[in-house]
Amino acid sequence: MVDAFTVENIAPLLRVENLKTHYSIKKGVFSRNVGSIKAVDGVDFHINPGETLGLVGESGCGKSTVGKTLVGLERATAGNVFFDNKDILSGSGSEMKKVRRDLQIIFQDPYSSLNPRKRVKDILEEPIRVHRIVEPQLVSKRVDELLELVGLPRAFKNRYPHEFSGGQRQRIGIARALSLNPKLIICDEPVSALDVSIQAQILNLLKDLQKELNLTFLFIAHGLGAVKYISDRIAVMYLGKIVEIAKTEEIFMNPQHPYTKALLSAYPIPNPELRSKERIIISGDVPNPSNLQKGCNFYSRCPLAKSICRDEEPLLKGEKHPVACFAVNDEKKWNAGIRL
Amino acid sequence: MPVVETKKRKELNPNQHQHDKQEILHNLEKEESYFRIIAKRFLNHKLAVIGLIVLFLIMLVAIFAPFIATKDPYQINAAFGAPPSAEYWLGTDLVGRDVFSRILYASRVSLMVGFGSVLIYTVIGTIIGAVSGYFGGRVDMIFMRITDVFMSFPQLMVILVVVSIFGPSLLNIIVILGVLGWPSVARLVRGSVLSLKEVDFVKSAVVLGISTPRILFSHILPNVMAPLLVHATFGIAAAIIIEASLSYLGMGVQPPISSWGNMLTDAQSITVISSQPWLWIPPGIMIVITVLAINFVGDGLRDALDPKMTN
Repeated sequence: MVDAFTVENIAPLLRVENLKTHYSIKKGVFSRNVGSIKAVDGVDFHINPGETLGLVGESGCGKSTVGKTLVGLERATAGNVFFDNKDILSGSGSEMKKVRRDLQIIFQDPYSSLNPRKRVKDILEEPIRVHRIVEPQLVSKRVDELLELVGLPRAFKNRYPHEFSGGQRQRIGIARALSLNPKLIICDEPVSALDVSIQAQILNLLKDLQKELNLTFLFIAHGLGAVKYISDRIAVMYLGKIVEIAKTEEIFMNPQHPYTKALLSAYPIPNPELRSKERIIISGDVPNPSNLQKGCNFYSRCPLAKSICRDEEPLLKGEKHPVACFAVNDEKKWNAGIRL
Repeated sequence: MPVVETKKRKELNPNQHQHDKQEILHNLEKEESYFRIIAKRFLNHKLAVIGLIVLFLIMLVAIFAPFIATKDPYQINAAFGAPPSAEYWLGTDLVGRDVFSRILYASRVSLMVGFGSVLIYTVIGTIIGAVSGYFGGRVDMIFMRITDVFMSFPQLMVILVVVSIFGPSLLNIIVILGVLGWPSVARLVRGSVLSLKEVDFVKSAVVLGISTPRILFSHILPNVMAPLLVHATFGIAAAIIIEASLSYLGMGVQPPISSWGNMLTDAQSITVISSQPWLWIPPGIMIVITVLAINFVGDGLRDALDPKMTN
């Protein structure tokens, strides 16, 4: 959001190191393990306080799994996650539960994220009461405040979710995420299920809330428009790994990784004058994540692939603009010219 | 479940979205609760409403039997097997007891067996199904294999054996039916819980740090209520029939306590069937009416709770 926040000496709010979430594939009567799907396979990133990190990638690349693992909905296979300097993956007990309250999530589908049997009031009151966020007699006042924060009239609190539109429901979902006064909110594609006009409203609401409550966001999305609008920095994921992280302008103006370039060229530009003539269309399909070969995951589809890409795995390298690609990182090893 | 269904509907029919929107706008004006919508839909189902009224009347009869009955159902009168008359409205049975009064009292037995056993097995089945579905893995595997074993018992035979061990009585019948009936409920609840625990509102409760029992009972189970209620309604009808069958075979409620089933026992003789129809037709009709009424209520509930039905 503000450049000052990205200065190196500020301690990041969230630091993720080599995070892996694998799902085992079970078969047969005795549920033998016959392999695993590496949904998230060694991810490193950090988020500074007050910042929004966008996480983009195509469907199935593991971006949602990263979010779910961070809030504890999926069990991490390996790695460390430091939130507020506390390791939230290894710790347990009541102390950890308290820390976890500061980490909340907003879901993609506003229809399935609200319990159809509960009134808005009940949905918002429950977490406040259970964790004694405020004195019991102040709970209903707190609910009013939350509704006001997300731009809904107080009178709505006695209604049931089915009485609301998608955008209104998403606002209720945001109010619920705010009910425990969290520091970091994982936005798991919060606008992809909404109409475009409503998308803008929700994005602006999120931006306003960030300013007002000093929130930090991990914004997961596949639509580049929303991510560009809200993010300070963007991480691009492909098949369980982050291939590039940089500031938003940097990613859009100067993409390094061939996958990022392909992703950006798939993003429609409204102004025909600004459209570049050549579009990069990557061929082939995403490899089966249960049967990955060694080397670079993007090897089979990469227009720049060389023999080293097949044998070795590129690491995320670079200070200001880390990229995981031999073509970019090791130009000495690279003999062929970059054709992209 | 309503949530899941809305999603599905949308995929099937793109115009549905517009329709949903109108529905929402329409509802906004009225502030209807879920319960109200269901009640309204139920009331549109004529047979179900008739069924509910009949069932309600039978309940009233059961509760106020001592005030309605014209005679003491256990008292042996002078007339044996007498045909209906002004004194004995539906005649007397072979021992000389008033049939009309016995039928009234028998409704207590049927309703107690129906509601009692279903209550027991619904509670057992819900707990087993909910735990099995929510925790999954090994717990689920063990519970479901036990369920399979229970499901493969020939029910009537097991009941007969157990009754002959513990003796036939109203309480025993209720308990046995209750203990044997849970597997189907457990399966039903497990299935619903399995799909519900993947729904975002449950996940959000997990992230908000709500305790597991609270999530199960306050977030998941209320959403399982709809299919469970329908299942239980049909279960009541089934239990009433099983009680009647058992009593008919002499393994159920024992005389002098009257039950529609043991009143039918008299009809085992050809002379009764051909020449004393007042002994078996009235209890037979009561069984049919009660079971039909309950089944109509069940049908109505099923349609009212089905999110795909719109009126």
